[in-house]
Amino acid sequence: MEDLSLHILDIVENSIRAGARNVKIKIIIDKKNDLLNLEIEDDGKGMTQDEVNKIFDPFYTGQNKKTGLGLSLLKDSVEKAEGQINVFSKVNTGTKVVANFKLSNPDMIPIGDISETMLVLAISNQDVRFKLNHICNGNEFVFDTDEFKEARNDSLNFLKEVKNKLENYKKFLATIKGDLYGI
Amino acid sequence: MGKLKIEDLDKISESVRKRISLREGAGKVKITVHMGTCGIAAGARNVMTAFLNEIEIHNAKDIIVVTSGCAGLCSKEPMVTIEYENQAPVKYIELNEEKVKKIFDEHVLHGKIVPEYALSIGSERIQ
Ligand SMILES: Nc1ncnc2c1ncn2[C@@H]1O[C@H](COP(=O)(O)OP(=O)(O)O)[C@@H](O)[C@H]1O
Ligand SMILES: [Mg+2]
Repeated sequence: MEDLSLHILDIVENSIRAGARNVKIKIIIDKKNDLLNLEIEDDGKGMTQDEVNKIFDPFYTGQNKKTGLGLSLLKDSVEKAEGQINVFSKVNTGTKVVANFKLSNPDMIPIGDISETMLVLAISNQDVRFKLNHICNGNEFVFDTDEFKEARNDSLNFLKEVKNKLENYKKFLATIKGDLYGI
Repeated sequence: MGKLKIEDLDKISESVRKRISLREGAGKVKITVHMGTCGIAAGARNVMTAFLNEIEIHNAKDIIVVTSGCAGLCSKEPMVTIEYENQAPVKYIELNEEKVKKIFDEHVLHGKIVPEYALSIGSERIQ
């Protein structure tokens, strides 16, 4: 996968398919320690330890109509950037995917447009609460679809409000891009 | 919290009904964007945001946009299924922004199928 934002889309789609009602995404960029940390936590149906053990096998999938590549592709991206990935899960409770990357590694994938990912997720799953905390060198951006609860019954209005908020996130992402590459 | 009144129950059931109808696709048009991990997730995301732009530009109401897994035809992605009220679902393949505009103007807004981009009409529904 070309960038982090597409991995996030893919991993969160897993949460949605697992019936999650709440998905928390945390991204911490810590330039001083040369680290990007990504956490995606859901309250979906969870997995048994057996299932978790198979999760990084390419083509392992618990569903038809899926390729079973999502997590193994993320693992590839992580390992190329000298990072680590762990999945914690409990049946009927939820799942947490934790990955970190070494920022300065030349094979570190680009961040990509996470605001587009959040737009797609929020609009196509309006009954799910998404909360994103993106922290970069001490600055934080929060996107929480609970803010637009009132608009949920009017999908056009919901779309407009979410887009509006994500315009600010785009600006935030543009500033950290400069930070990351020292421009 | 005080006792629930009949009006409150009405309000609750109304909001539940709205939410259910949204999910079951009781809107006028349902757009399903297929997002398999087929190495071209970027294309699917672009197609979806292109549809969202059109919805916003046209102030189009009653349109539901959802995602689903790969439809088994990864080589033909980005791909969407359009379900216009009371019509058979139509799959459109190998989409780009320009094609999305045309499909939106003709099919989503006016119920007119765009045969040149369609793979099949009225085949199995995709969940
Ligand atoms: N958040 C999650 N909750 C429950 N099950 C999950 C979760 N993420 C992944 N899984 C299980 O692991 C399988 C493999 O996931 P993945 O590698 O993304 O491939 P795919 O989504 O194509 O099946 C899924 O099909 C699902 O059964
Ligand atoms: Mg997946």
